[in-house]
Amino acid sequence: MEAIKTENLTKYYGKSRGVLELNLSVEQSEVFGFIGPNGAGKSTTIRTLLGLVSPTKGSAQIFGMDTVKNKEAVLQKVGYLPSEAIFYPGMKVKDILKLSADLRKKNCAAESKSLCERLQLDRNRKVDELSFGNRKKVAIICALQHRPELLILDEPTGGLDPLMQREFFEIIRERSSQGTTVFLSSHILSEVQHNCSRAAIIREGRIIACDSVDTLAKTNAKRVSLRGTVDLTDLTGIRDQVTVDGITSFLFGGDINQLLRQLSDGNILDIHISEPDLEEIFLHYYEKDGDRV
Amino acid sequence: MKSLLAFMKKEWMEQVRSGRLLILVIIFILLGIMNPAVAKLTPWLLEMMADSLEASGMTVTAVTVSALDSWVQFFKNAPMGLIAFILLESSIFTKEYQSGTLVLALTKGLDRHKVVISKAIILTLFWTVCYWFCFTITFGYNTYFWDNSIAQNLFFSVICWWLFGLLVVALTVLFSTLSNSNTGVLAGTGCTVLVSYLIGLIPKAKEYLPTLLMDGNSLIYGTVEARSYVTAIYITVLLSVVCLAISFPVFNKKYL
Repeated sequence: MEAIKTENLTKYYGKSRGVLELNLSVEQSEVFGFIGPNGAGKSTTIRTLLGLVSPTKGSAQIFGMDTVKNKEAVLQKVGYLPSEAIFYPGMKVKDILKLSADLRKKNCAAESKSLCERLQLDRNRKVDELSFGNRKKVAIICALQHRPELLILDEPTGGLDPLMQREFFEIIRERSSQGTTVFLSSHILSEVQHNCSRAAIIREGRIIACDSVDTLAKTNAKRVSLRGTVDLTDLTGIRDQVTVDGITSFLFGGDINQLLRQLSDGNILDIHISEPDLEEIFLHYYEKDGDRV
Repeated sequence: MKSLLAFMKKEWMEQVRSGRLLILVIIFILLGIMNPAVAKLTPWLLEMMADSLEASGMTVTAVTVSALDSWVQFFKNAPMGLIAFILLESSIFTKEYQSGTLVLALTKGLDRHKVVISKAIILTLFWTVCYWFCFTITFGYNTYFWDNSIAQNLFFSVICWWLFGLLVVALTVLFSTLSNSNTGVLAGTGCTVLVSYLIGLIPKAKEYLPTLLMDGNSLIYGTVEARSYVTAIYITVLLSVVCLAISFPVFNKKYL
């Protein structure tokens, strides 16, 4: 049984598009990345999974349960970390963690204490006095303390310093190894590349690519950086060409033999050919028509 | 039940921390004191103004006041208390819509109907406590200064006004689920009461309308019988229940 499954999930807000015929499948214990810019439909997808909005068409299931019909049962299994850490003003950290546990009808005191220690969070401070990073830690603990079977993380590391980010992903890896499924929505592509096994790219409400992170990163394109003089004007399949400090860099998706012939005619002092990173792939998918290079 | 109690505790703490509860209690204490104070000071005020009144052709004779004057003042001031209550509490839902805090509670498995229930209970509780606090203070002073027994149907008349307040609370809950702004809640609640008041100007319709319950003076002076209020009471209770019942499906479908 999949942890998350959506079938032709469509949501319109009046005439505005939320998501269109979204088909998504996330296996149990998987760390799944969900990538897309603002307005692409990431939040609508998450809101539908959490039962906050009802789909216009299609369905969303979590552990085989419909997110509309079995909202309460679904939410008992889910830990949600919103991108913005908003809390009721005037409350202390420990009060918020207690409220969060009570709303779930669970006693999470031990787990909450342990997570506070790991993330170095003072439980006796008022949330209004906390920095954004520390408020984020409170939100993280709220999402994790009841040991959910599915974690839905929306931009989880915003505001966290690098050390805390490392600790956070360490916790996520531990949870994943214990069987927790993680659905990670993020703008930070390196985060997805380093922590997720599979990822989906959403564009204008539709999934335009969904595969293992390695496969997504493997395109026919190569990132070429060279120092020297060479005429590239006749070469087809070149994108993102920039020259900085005498180093010319471009993404090449054409005939590699033609590239080598063209390079051999020039005066090359140094050359580096590598696989493009996920960020480049992502930007590529957001080209006008989204066709692969 | 545990989640409902946890959310109600949150509501209570929020009311205390924001100072809204304190402000409400102070307002209703002041109103409670003002009722007998105004009655008590009326002869003195008229005596002070006797000369100027005489110049304009009015003669002031000895004025005697009783508990009835204080209760008349009570029914004059009760709308002020209710308006202050609604102004302070109209943001009980909308504030959460605007800050996004409800999403946090709802994504932790809290049922939407429990949000409506807990906020409705808190509003009802606060209105009840504040209103009866005001009544008790006035009743105490009236007992000390005068004789409350001359007011007929006293408890019935104050219960009628309290019931009208409950309807306004139910309207506030309903319009809070319909509107995202404070203005919408206040406009919806205010307009509904105003429409009821305007229809009440038609004599035949008056006895069926909740606004009849605001007329406590006729009851304490004994100019009308208590039973003539029964239909309005039934309709008020029914409307309150209907308002709350509509709030649940409306809030269930609300985009947060």
